[in-house]
Amino acid sequence: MRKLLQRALARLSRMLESGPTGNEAVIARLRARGVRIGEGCVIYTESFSTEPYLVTLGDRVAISGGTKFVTHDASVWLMRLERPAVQAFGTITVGSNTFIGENCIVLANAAIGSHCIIGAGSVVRGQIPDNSVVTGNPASVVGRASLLIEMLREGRNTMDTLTLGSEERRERLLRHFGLLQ
Amino acid sequence: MIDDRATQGSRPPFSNEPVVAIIAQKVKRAAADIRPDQALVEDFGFDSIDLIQLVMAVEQALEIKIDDKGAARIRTVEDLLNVSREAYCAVPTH
Repeated sequence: MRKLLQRALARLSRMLESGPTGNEAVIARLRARGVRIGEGCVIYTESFSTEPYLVTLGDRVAISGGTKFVTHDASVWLMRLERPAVQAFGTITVGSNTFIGENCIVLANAAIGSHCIIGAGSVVRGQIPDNSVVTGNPASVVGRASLLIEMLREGRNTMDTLTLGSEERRERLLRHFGLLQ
Repeated sequence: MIDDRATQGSRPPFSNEPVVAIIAQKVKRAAADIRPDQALVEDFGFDSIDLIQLVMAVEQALEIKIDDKGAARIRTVEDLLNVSREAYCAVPTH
């Protein structure tokens, strides 16, 4: 009973922190700005550049906090003297079931495939084939996402804790990593 | 290190050498210092990205495709040699 109450309180606390429809609210705001967003996406950034309507996300795309989409190429600045009104743009597409880690920059004309994993801090440009793991600046393909997923599935630090309350998860993680006092 | 050779049609027989050379290059050690019982994570400090890069490098060098589930179970140098050999021998010959 006490555990149930603790779990309920933890859930309530999480809801108060992020809002019960936090992700839905973000997606609604982004759609209103013109971002084309598929179903089942989780988005922790609203940095979709000055032309958000040039960004298209597939279904079940997850985008971590701090990531930025840049839909223009401001380097045309160098021709401002001859063409004062010059601007250059590019679309961005992200395929379905792709994960983009924290603090990535996705540049204009990037086309990220489906089932991709974009490592934190990557600067992504150009075409990224389906099922790629991508890291670095400039981002490059380092392997197959399906292989990384299989490795994570087997990983001893991979566990089903998402639905646990924060206290319960904390205790489990401290025990798992041998940090329990 | 013992070179376990398997005949593979018109292709040269499987050799541990190129696989060991790739590991040696990645961990910046001499190939002679790479032992089958060494663990890629615990002994060489590989993380998951290092591991998938390693698998990809072996696949490119031997022109093979290592099964994802098999690759995910690689813990030691010997495991990598075994899955590489299996994949190499599974390539159809003409």
